[in-house]
This record gives sequence, C-alpha cells and structure tokens, in this order.
Amino acid sequence: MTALLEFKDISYWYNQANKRHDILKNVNVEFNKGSFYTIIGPSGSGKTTFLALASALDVPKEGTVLYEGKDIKKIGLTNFRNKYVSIVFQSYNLLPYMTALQNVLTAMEITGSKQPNKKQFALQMLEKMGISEKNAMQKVLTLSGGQQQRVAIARALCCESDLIVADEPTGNLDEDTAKEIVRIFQELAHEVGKCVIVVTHDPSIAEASDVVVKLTKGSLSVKNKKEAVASI
Amino acid sequence: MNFLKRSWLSVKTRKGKSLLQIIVFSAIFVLVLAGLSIQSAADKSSDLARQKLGADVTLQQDMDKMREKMQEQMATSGEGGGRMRIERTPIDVTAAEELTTYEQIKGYNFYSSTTGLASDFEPIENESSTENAEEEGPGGMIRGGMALGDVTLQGVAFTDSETDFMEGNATIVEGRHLTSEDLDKNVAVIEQSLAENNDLSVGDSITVANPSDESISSTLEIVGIYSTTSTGSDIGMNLAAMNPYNKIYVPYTAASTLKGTDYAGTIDSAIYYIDDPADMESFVEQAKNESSIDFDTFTLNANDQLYQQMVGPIENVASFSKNVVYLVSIAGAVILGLIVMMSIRERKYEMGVLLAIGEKRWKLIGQFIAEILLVAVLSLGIATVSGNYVADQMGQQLLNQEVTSAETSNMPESFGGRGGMFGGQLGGRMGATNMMQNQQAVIDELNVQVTGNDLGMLAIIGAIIAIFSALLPSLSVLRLQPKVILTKQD
Repeated sequence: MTALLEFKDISYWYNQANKRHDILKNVNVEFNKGSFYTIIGPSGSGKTTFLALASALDVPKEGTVLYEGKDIKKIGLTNFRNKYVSIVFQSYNLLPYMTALQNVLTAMEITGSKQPNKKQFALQMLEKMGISEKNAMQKVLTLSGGQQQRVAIARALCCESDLIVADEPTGNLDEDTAKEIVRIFQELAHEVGKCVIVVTHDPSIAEASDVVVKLTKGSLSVKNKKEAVASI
Repeated sequence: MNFLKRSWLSVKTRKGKSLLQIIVFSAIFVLVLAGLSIQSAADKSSDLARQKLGADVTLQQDMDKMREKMQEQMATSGEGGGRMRIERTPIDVTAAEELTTYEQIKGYNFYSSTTGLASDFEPIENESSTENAEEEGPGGMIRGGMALGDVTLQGVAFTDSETDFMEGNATIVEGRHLTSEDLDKNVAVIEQSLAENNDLSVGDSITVANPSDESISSTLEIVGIYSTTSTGSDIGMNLAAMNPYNKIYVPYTAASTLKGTDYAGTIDSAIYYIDDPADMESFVEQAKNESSIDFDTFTLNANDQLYQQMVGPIENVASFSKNVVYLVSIAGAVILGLIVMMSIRERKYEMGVLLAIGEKRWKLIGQFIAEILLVAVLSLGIATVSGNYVADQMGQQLLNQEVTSAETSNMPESFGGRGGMFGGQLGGRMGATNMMQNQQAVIDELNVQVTGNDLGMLAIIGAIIAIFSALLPSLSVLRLQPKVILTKQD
C-alpha cells in the first residue's frame, strides 16, 4: 500500500560561514491515513524543518517527499499546500485584520472547500474549538493567545485535506482545551481517516498518538511509545 | 473569502492607509482630469477657431528674391547707390489654376489690378485731386513718368471672395457678383456713389482706357453695383484712382487686357482659401513639388496669422495641460508605487500566511491590485465631483496668464504698458482699431467641461497607475518563500 506521505532519503542543511550545518540526515519515514503521529525531539533536532518539508513550505536539499507516491515538487508546492495539507502553526499565523470566522472562511475559500454552507461549518468548527459565535465575529487580535490558537486549529480542520500537520498546537492552551484538541486529532485520524502529524514537546499528546517519531540531531527513529514518551 | 472580498476587507480595515492613498490618488486624478479636460476644451476651441477662420495662401512675386536679384544686378553694373527699380513679373494664370484643383482648398481668387481713365463717365473726385486734375489733365502722373488713371480696375475671378466683400466693407446693393463665368467678358461691378453720380445702373455700359495708351480701351457692361464703407487712405484721397468710390471690379481677364498684350493670360496674385490651417503646410509642399510655378520668382505666403494669434494662448494652455497629465501621471505612479511598496512590505507576513495556506501568487497580486483599484474608484468619484470646478478654475487661470502674456508680447514697446496711449500718441484710428480687433480675436475663454471621454481616459490612466504601482512592488516581495517570510516574522 502506498503511504500518504513518505520521506525518502531526505537530507537538509544550511551553510553558515562556509560551514555546513546538517538539520536532517538521510531521513526515511512513511505516514499513513488513519494514524495520529507525533514528532518529538529536543530543540534544534530538526522538528520544525521536518514539518516545513512535510507541509511543502520548504524543499529538501537531497531526497524526495512523496505524497501518495508522487513527488510533491511535481505536484507543485503551492498546489500541494492548497489541496493536500492543512497546517497549524505554532505562532497561529492568523490574518490580523480579519475576524476569527473570516480567517477560517478565507482558508476554506483558498483551499476550495466543498462545504455547502461554509459559514455554518466554520462556526461549528470554531464552536467545537471553544470559540463562541460572538468571539468568532471578533477581530482575532482581540482574542487571547489560547483563543487564537484554537482559531488556527479550526482553520486547519475546516480544510478538507487528508494530511494535517501541526507545530506545538497545544502550547498556548489550557489543559482541558489541549485534551479536547488531542481528542479531535484522534477522531480525525481514526474516524475520519486523516493523517495527523503533530510536532510536540507535550508527553500527553505523544502518549495519545499512534506512532511517535523521534528526531535526534537530524536522525530519525520510530520509537516504542512508552520509551519515547519517557524520553521527552 | 476570495481575494476580491479580502481586498475590500483590507481597505476597510486599514482606514488610515486607505485614506492616505485616497487623498494621493484624488489629488493625482483631479490634476490629470483637469489636464485632460483643459486639453479637450482647448482642442475643441482650436477646432472651432480653425473651422471659423480657415487660412489663406497667397501666390505672389517673391519680393525678397527680387530685391536680392536687383541688388546683384546693380552691383554688377556698377550702379551701386542708385535708386533700385523693382520689376513686376506677372503670374501665368494656367500655373495659378493648377493649384485650384488641390483638395486642401475650399476657394480661391485671382487678382489683376490696374488703373484706367474714365472715358464716358465722371469719376468721383475730391478737392485735392480736382486741383491736380486741373493742372495735369485727367488721371495723373506718378514720379517716374508712369501714367495713373482716375479709376482703379480691380480684376478678380470672384467678387464675393474679394477681401473687402469678405470682410463686409463692401456689399452688393444691385445686380450680382462677378464669378468665373464672367472671365473673358467685359463686365463690371461699380460703386454706388459712382453709379449715382453718373446716373448709371445695372445694364448700362462704361468705357475705360489705358492711361498710358488711350488707344487701348474697354467698354464694360455694369452687372452689379456695390456700396463700400471704406474711406480710403489720406494719401489715396489725393489721387482719384485711389478713391474707394472709383474702384471698379472687373474679371481679371478684362484688367489684363486693359494693361496691354504683354499681360494677356497673367495675373498679379492669387489667393487660395484653405479650410483648415493645419493643411496649409501640405498645400504649400504639394505646390512646390507638383506645380509648374517658378518658385525662384514667386512665393506662396501662408497667412494664418489670425488663427495663430487666436489659438496661440490656448495651444500653450493645451500643451501645458498635456505636460501636466504626463508629469502628474508619472509622478503619481511613483509616489503611489512607493506608498504601496511600503504597505506591501508591511504586509509580508500576511502574504506569507496566505501563501502557506496555499493561496496562488497571482491571486495575492490580484488582491493588492484590487485594493488599489478600489481606492482608485473612490478617488475617481471624488475627482469626478470636484474635477470640473478645479479644471475650470485652472484652465481659466492658465488661459488668462497666456492671454496677458500674448497681449504684452504683441504690444509695441512705445506703449509702455499705458492704455491711454492708444487714442493719444498713436493717433491713427486704424492702429487702435486693429489692436482692439486683434485682442478680441484671441480666445480668452475656455469652456472646460469634464466629459465622458475625459473620465474614460482618466479611468484608463488611473487603472494603469494603479496596476503599475501595485504590481511592481508586489513582484519583489512575492519572490520570497512563505517559510522565509514566516520564519522572519517569528
């Protein structure tokens, strides 16, 4: 069976002062639909770069990122981001001059959501994330950090892609909301059949995931969950 | 939310920046609209003036060349310092007729003038000419021994296009005008006073003779009587032939016949009336290239002085307005481009987010262009409302300056800017009258109206400014990758 997303011999580095700094070294890993993955690792281990490559925000220096067996470069990076992946950013990356609802609707419009009533759907998703209709109508800058994070997650979930990648999605959330978000990720993976990849430092999220991928100094290893959680 | 909705939202949210852009755009639009409207009004006025005035080109002997030739001859023959004698060379009528077929002309007239002795009627005479006549007999002698008759025979092809008739100084009161049908006929149109004094009417005949050779005479049938308002000149009043009442219009063929056989088939000059002064140059060019006229002897003098005088200030205004349109458009595009560039740089983050979500780059550019176009549309509305007033005021102000400048440059130095000298030192009524007429001839009012065409042109210019000012800065930022933008933002 073809993996939904596959990293094949991926290496990534940058040069600084004529010195090469390796971020990822010959990484090979597969991600499948219906599973919830967490990427863990210490700071500087290459998690964010890994996520940037998975979401086509960047391209590897060596190797290929395949989506359903196709090189994402051939799919087109913009096209890939538009149709095949939803991203939850660590720093929310919401459009400040829009309301929460408008942020979600904008993403749905851009990704060509086929929902018949986009506004209704967006409001429902925001509600599910703990954003009331009143808050949904407010400019995002007037919302708290936690609320903005929820809007960012709602924005990603409203798009109909099979792949959801998230960078520290619960970093700014209280424990209850974080648990709710994790539950939603599980639901999306197990019931809706999506592939969810989350970069986290949070052991509870890693524990809730199906597969834990550990990055250490650019090298990747798929760990036993207990062992992995313990290493965080 | 598509990019058009986003642009509307962005303009609405960024009130301060949008207002600044609207102010800049409105200022640009008002100036461009004023420039366009003034240009249109000036063009319209020039066209009207052209249609009204037309222009004329005179074919005549080239006096400058003739003078140079005579000076050379005098130098060669060693007669330096003696009196220069200018020899008149008549124009071959067939050559002059060639030009009448050119498409630029709307009419023409041929002139051949001479004086004659009234054989069987009495010319109108005044005191001084009567005294001279008593001493010298009929007619007179001018210095050098050449005989001068007591009537002037003004040979023309048409009387209706003769200068005095065209300017309203002479009008037919009985009978008819002379036309080209009358060529080779012995017919005449005489002045009313002359007719009354001699009890002559249409159908009667008069006889005039060549003052140098009385054996050459012509009997002319009167086919028309005209009245003149001309008073003639003071010098002219001393000579009967120069008295305006003694001017007899005849076909140029009749005048040439009376001059003698040497003048058969010739004229003194020809005037070609041109519909549009703009065609004058091409007419002269065509004549020089195609006609059999000897341009070493003759010249075509273009006379569009009145048109030039009339449209001079307005053309300057139109030219200035055109420059205003160009300058404001370019400067406006640069200023707006800088404002938009600053705005876009500030919005790198937004672009990074949208690109990360998967928005297409052309749609981002589309959003910026739509935003600036939205501002442009609002500014266009402001310009439409205020443009007419500004254009009118600006146009009038510019024209007034130009008219004043034109009047100052046309005024003789001796006037010294004192209006009182018109009737005082100048003394001659003609000078003052001409000056007044000339001043009236200048177009000193512009009917500046913002038209649909002006607005259409403004919309096109505005769209070009908007697109360029948004497109160029967008391109530089859009080369960046979303990850780079977002990383920098973080």
